[in-house]
Amino acid sequence: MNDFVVSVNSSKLNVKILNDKELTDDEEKYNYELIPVTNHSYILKLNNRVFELTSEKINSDLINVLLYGNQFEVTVRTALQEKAFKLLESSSGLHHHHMEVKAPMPGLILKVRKKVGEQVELGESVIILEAMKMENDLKATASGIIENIYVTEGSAVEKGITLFSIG
Amino acid sequence: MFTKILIANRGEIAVRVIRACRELGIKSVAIYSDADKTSLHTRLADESYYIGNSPAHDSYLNKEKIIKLAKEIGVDAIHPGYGFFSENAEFIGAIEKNKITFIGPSSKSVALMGSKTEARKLMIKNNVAIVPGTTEPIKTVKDGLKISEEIGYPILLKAAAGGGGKGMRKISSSDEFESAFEATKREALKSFSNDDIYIEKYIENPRHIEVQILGDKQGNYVHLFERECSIQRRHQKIIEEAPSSFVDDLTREKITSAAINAARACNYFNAGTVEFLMDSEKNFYFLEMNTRLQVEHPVTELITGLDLVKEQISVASGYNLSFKQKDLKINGHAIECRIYAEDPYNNFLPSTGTILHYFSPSGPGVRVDSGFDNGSQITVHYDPLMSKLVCWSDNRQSTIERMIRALSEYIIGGLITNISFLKNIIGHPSFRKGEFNINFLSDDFMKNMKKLEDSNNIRDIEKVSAIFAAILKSKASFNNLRANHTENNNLWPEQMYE
Repeated sequence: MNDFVVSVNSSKLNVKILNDKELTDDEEKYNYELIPVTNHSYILKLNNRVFELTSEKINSDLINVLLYGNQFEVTVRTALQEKAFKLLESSSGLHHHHMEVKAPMPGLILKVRKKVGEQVELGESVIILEAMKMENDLKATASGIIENIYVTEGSAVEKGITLFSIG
Repeated sequence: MFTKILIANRGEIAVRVIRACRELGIKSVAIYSDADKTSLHTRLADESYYIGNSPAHDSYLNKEKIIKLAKEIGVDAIHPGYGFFSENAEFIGAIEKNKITFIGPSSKSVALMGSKTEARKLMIKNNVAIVPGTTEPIKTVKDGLKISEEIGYPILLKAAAGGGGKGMRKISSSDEFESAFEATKREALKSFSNDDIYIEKYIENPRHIEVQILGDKQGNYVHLFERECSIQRRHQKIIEEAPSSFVDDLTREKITSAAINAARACNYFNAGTVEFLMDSEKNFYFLEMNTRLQVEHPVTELITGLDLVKEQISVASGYNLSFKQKDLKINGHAIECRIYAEDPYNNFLPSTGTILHYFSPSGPGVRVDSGFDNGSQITVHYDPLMSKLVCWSDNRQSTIERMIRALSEYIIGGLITNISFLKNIIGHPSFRKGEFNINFLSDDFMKNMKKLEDSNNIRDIEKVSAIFAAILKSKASFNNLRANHTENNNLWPEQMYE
């Protein structure tokens, strides 16, 4: 299976790897060559252009790609996986809108500005986390009701800990 | 001249001082924490000593340990870099007592200028214009409200012991006062161990212009012209240039002599910077004096041909300044971009992680002062400044083109940086025309910039990234690609707690 569906930000691209030298996307055909330089960096030649990319894996479908200072999360699925994924997505029906906000870095919870049950708007400040000597505003990632707050003022948190959820 | 200098700092500035020492034939001594065991400054110094755990108060802010070490290993002088102990009068006093030379001003000058309220009083006495506001700390919310009413909103609340953009808040109306008062006090106490705060009139859309001065212990002073540092986020500079495109010859004459007056007023010696706000009519007001080497000193070096760190070392050891004001002139134009590990489109939130791939630009007129390299870690313990990219050319326009070129070459993989954001600012029509002020990076600007970035050539970059990902997946190499990540599937590359 050499048909892939690649999602970057909001766009999707179909890439067909024809052989170890040629591929096509939705628009054109390319000659390609990919040369690993280190564990994380690659030189990619597409026709007559040469790109230097850095990449790290997040899980089997998802990688981070850095190119010209822009960092993306890129999801790659085989055409078959994509079909299965779509089926799953539509069969799960109306799923409850629920969002968790995690600590982006270890730090100290300085202030909790909202209470459980309170309405918040997208972008409203919920928690102030102090890290790197700066007060960082952690904002609501969606509008909704605060379902849960898992931390208290003055507590130290590790990175990745869920701080609060919005439903 | 000294024979052995200890550098009480880390990162790019420690590397900068080590390089000056090496060129002067002076032995350099680095100190390092757990997090910096393999850092560039630890590797480049003649001698390197472990000083403590990663948190700064255990290592780079451990006064007793640093002074004890300096005495044990026979150090003549200590260079503080910027940040950490550079403006700590108590530390400087302790060094003076131990008969070690501090490469910087006297503890007395630092104490005078370190208290923003004392400095404001001193400036009034010496006919240097200050921003309207209080010269005494505000004791209560009630007092603060009354004074703010008199001055007129908007006002700024500022930490008396502050600096570096920390401990400062804008207040637009009286209902915001109380919570801002508390937050500023809290931040001031945390960052500067002093919660005195004062009030300044908020000047609408000023530019940040500062003057580099240099004085010897014999009382001779020179200025090294101005720098403009108006492009700021979170009240911290990210792009600096020299000379300013806004300052004309007459204004330059006035502002540089005001700066020398300010330095003379506190019997200053060594390198220092007098910061001013300049309104649209080119009126300027004293903001504060930074009694240390500045992050942005390279732009001044590039337009004057001087090495500021060598000059610091020379005057600290008692030499006269080796040149006079009339020997100095502005040559060409220089711009500095601060490369930060942070996400410009997520409130400039610092990012942490390991540098997986590092390639720095070079070529004509390009200078990179960096403290990091492949495999270096950016941790939560210190400032997220990774390096400074500085470009020089014979005029402002060609320096801008050179900077865009150099930023395009710069690759730092593994964490989020502000490189492409900086490129967009430098290439912005308003920046090119020199039409900006300290509020340039407003919320509206950030939104438009994000849209611009999303709609621009990003499509092409996305496409290349997508093709790359598909090729990787088609090869077994995808599964072998080393994960630099914890399994909890969040965006932040793990490092410290792995």
